[in-house]
Amino acid sequence: MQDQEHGSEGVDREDWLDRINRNDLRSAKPQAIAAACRRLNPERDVLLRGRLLDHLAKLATDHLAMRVDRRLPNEGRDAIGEVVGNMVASIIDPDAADGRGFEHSFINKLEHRLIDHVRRWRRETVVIEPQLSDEVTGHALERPDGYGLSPEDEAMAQDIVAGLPDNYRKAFLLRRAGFAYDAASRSESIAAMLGVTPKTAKAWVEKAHALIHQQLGIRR
Amino acid sequence: MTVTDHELDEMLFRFHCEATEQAVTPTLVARWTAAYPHYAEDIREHAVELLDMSFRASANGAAISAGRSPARIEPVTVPTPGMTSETAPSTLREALRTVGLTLRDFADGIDIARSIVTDVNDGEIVKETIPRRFLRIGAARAGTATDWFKAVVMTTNDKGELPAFKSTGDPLPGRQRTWEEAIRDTDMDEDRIAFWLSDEG
Repeated sequence: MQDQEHGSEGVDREDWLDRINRNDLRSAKPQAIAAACRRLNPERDVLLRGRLLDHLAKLATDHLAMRVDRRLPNEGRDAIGEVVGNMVASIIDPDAADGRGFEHSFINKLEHRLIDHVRRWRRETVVIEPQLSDEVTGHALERPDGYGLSPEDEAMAQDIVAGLPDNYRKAFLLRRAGFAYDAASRSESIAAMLGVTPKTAKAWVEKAHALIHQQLGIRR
Repeated sequence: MTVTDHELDEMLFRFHCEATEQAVTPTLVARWTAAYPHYAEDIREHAVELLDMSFRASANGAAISAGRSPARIEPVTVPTPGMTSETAPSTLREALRTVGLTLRDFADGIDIARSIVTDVNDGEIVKETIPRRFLRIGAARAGTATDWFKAVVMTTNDKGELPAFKSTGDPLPGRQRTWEEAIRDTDMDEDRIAFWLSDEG
């Protein structure tokens, strides 16, 4: 406590000032910056801590902007603002558990909090997803295992996949990650992961494949 | 945060760290859900969101490499037989909320004056004058079928309870404007006005 009041225990202030002057904070690990922020004297080092926090906030915003779902309110900007704001608050609060998390693994803690936000939002929002009714469309769908996109098609398909309805996209990504439609023993399935029947899981993957092929102009 | 919440939070953070390091796989998720069966649903939900988020980062990275803005990734418009006029929400505001958009986001996304979208939502514009272009672009932005979006636009009438403290009589509905009148009354630049006044065949 003595150190916290009068000094900055274990923090090389001169090194951080030098990095700032050389505009070289990018080479420092964010968890190290977070750790420094938590140990700097909050009164004597207010400006230094502010510069480090500004850098972390910018870094965090850039990282989350690449990952946030643009279908969130205000295209995800509110979510990013909340996560980054809470990050700053928890780093400067010596008692905050999240502050220790940011020290331990900055990016993982950041992503963890964004996912928390997204999960809360999904629970509060009834997202309209297209209902399955193959009987209505009459479209015959092939087995997904037989689709086999080429690497080039796969690259082109990324934009299309990103724009797919939530359920189709998630089912597609799970399938690509090696999940089966139905649960084998001691494993997890797409059905379990998405809380639907294996039949629905399979149909969602097939729909995703069909839409990707349709958008790519590939005749099946 | 309760003890249980804290335990769940800590466990999910450790799961996130391991899943990020190794990748989300059926085996990994199965191991964690077996170890924490009472939190199995949270682990699965977190894993799905992590997979989705990682994909988005990769897709956005590819878009940037190709010299495009990641924001240009547009929702795929899909045939949506479940979305019929019978299932359409009664206001545009409500319909957009269900796909995570506000009226403001929606207007900005299709580059039209916010007042126009508000007027459409409030039923202040004569329905028959709303052009197909708006319906098509609006449906694409919302990621819904055009017919479904059209059904919403044709029924929306979201006038709130307006205060009428100075009025001595009952409130009367205002005169509806045509699409053209409303568009010309905005402060959009001439190109945008021309764009929204021309329709598609």
